[in-house]
Amino acid sequence: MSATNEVGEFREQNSIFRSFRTFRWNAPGWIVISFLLALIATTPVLVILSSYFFPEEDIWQHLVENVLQGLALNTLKLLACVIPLTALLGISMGWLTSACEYPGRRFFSWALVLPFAVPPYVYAFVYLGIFDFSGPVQGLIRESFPSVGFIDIRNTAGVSIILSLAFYPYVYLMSRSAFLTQGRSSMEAARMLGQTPIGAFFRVALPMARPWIAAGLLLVAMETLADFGAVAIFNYDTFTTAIYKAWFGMFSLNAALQLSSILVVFVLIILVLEQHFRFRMRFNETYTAAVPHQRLHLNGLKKWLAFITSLMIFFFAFALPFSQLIIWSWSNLNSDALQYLEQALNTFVLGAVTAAVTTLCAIIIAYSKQSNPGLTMKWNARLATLGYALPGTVLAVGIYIPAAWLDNQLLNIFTGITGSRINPLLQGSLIILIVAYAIRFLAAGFGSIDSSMNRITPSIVEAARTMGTTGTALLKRIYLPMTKTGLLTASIFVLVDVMKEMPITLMMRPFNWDTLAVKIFEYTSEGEWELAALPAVGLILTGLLPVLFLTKKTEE
Amino acid sequence: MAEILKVNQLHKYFDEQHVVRGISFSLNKGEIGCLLGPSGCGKTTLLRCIAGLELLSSGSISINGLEVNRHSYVAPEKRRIGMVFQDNALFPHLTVEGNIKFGLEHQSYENKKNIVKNLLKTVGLTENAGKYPHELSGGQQQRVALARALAPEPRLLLLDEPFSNLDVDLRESLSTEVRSILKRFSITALMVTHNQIEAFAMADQVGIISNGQMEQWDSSYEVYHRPATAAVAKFVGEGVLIQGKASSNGSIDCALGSLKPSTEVPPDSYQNILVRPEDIAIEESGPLKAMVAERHFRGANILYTLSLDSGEKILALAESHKAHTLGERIAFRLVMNHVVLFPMSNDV
Repeated sequence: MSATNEVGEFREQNSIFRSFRTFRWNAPGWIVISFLLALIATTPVLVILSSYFFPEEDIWQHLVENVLQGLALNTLKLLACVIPLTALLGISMGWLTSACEYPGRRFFSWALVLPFAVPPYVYAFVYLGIFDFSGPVQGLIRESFPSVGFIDIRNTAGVSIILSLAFYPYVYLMSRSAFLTQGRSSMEAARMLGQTPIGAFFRVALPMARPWIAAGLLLVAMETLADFGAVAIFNYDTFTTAIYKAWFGMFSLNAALQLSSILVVFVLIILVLEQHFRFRMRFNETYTAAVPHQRLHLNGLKKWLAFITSLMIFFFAFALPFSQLIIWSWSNLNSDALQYLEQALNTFVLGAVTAAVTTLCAIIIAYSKQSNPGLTMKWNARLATLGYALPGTVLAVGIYIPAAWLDNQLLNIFTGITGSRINPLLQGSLIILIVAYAIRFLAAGFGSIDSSMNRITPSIVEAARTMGTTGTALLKRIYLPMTKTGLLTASIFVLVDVMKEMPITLMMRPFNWDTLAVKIFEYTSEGEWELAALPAVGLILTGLLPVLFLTKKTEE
Repeated sequence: MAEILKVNQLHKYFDEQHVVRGISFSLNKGEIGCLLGPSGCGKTTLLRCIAGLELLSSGSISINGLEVNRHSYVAPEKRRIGMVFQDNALFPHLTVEGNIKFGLEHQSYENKKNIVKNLLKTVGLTENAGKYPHELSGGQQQRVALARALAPEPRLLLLDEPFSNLDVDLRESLSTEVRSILKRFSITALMVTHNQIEAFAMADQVGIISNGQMEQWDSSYEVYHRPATAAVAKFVGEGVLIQGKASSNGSIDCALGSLKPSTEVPPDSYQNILVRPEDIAIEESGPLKAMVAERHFRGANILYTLSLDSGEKILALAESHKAHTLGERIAFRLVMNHVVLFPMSNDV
């Protein structure tokens, strides 16, 4: 493979030079804004990385001596459990639903994506509630097997299972789409060369899907590193909870910064690997429009084994937690359900405003990339969407610092002119919260907008031009209608992501601006699972929207 | 000669659709057969039934005298059949060498190495052993696909439109090359194509398939010169059918005069006569006259569509530097070696 990479790299470098030389700055206004957006989006990373140049010795000392080893070990243990577990769940289900035929396959192929609608912290508190001392499981164990005693799930295995239930759909969707696009002839070719169906799976289908699976697993790794809610509820210390504690508990911005700088290095490594595998996917794509799979008809025992496995996964990943939530919400519905109304409204307003802002930014970045082919704007887009890799806690730290600096500058100017003092403008404001959300979720919106813009080929634009359509008319008659669905998808993805978001909201929200996620965090930190249920149901139901989009896409 | 493949009364339904309707033929050791027909005629389905990738609805397939389908279905991997796919289906994650080695699991390391080396030499890709499929051209990819299919020494090689993704020049040269490779190792092969030039270049036996039925299974020469049915005549080569009527003396009267068929024809019966472009010689002294209706410049020659006085149209070839204009009446002569007739269904 090394020879291939060299060729690829050489080509890339070559075209960097070429693109600089032949760059015809189309629509310069867009480009300036686009560069500016990328700059804003990369600021948090730069701020955090720059802390390596100004180390605070005593804080480092404290961190290294007391917490670092434990945090790193916990984080690595988590990764070491979650990655194989999601791989097992995701790949096996991806293969069964894409290449085999068994009872319920159609249902499972979309139902197994449903966990995407459930935030990890919801899994965490539902399962804690189910395994609570007074819960049904422990009761049963006490009665039937008194010698076993209390089973505590607040450990590495417990958190890993929770996170795997929440994150396996990444691997499932990626591997499934790989298996579907492989088409039937590679598998058939393997059969004709003497492989049994199982042999063909391990020797052809699986290795061909490797880049997809790897990319899916790296997304899982990113999410695992970024997760705050689930580990916080389980009292499992990782970098994200440590950053949060440093921020709120110790009020030490510097400690939070140092911890963030370590986590960011982890994240950047994963990010680079992920990009590498996305690049590799191109080579493993089949060249011609693939004939759809001829599904392998499972029979006898195999058929029911497949069914039961799928059912179990669906049960534990969705049916059980969701019904538990419904039961809890129902029992608390009469008390005062209206108390959530304000938070629900806050959540929705934040989501909607961020969705609008983010979609607009995504359009600008996608359009400037589209109208200026070459690597410059491609890299610009990549940098601008970097935020998806940043854990919310890290992003909060990375934004707070420059915001506070800006505030101070403004304050100085203001007092210099008027002599009186004002409150900080950015810190603890909605604006800075929305900026943070936008940075974090720009990738979610950009993806669908960019791919819908990709469908507008240069020749389509040229054809319109030859018929006299230019400027705003072009935007109105070609770009808007052709990207409509992309824009809608992007807005919904961002809206829902913001609504589910927990750490950024916790750390940056203005006073009294509680969202549903914040409320869930508060209730669960007091062990009030049942009170947290109703807002969680609300989040899951809205979370189903983008999942429907995803499943529709996978069925195409 | 040993019979390698025997297909008997094969039927295949896809739900309601009757795709293959009772096809029978056989191939002897070392023979190259070719199934020729328009797309959607059922030829690929037939090939996939032989490979074991589709189950047949009725009939039987025997390989080396052993039935593989009806009573005891043999899985594709146990049939020892090689297959070259239309989209070549090379494994993108393996090198050229890895692809060719794929079917050689049970061979020793030395054997594998030798087989790969020889096959790479045969298909002329020795230099490219370490490359990945996406680094090769279309023609090279197809050669690798061939080498990969040949590596396990299959009893029968199936080729599904193997050249259809290549450009025209490459298609012709590669089909001749593939034939010579197959002949050198006396490999029994069955190819499916919709391209007659390919079929004629490759095959010993050609089967014309139309609407799921085998219209004719014969040598290339016979298929072209003695088409068994009107469908074959229309599909293979260029040519038109014109109407004629048998007279009592055994000749047939038509717009081109009186023709003498080699077989006996019932008197007064109406017949369709196959007229190919090479049956017509455009000559100033020719006894027959027709009007130039259409003209297709083809470089070395021009294909004319001539309108006869009867209103029927025929095709004729002429050198391109002696061009005739549209609407011009020109003289020609009939140079038909043998008369191909198809009785018309209703003798009105």
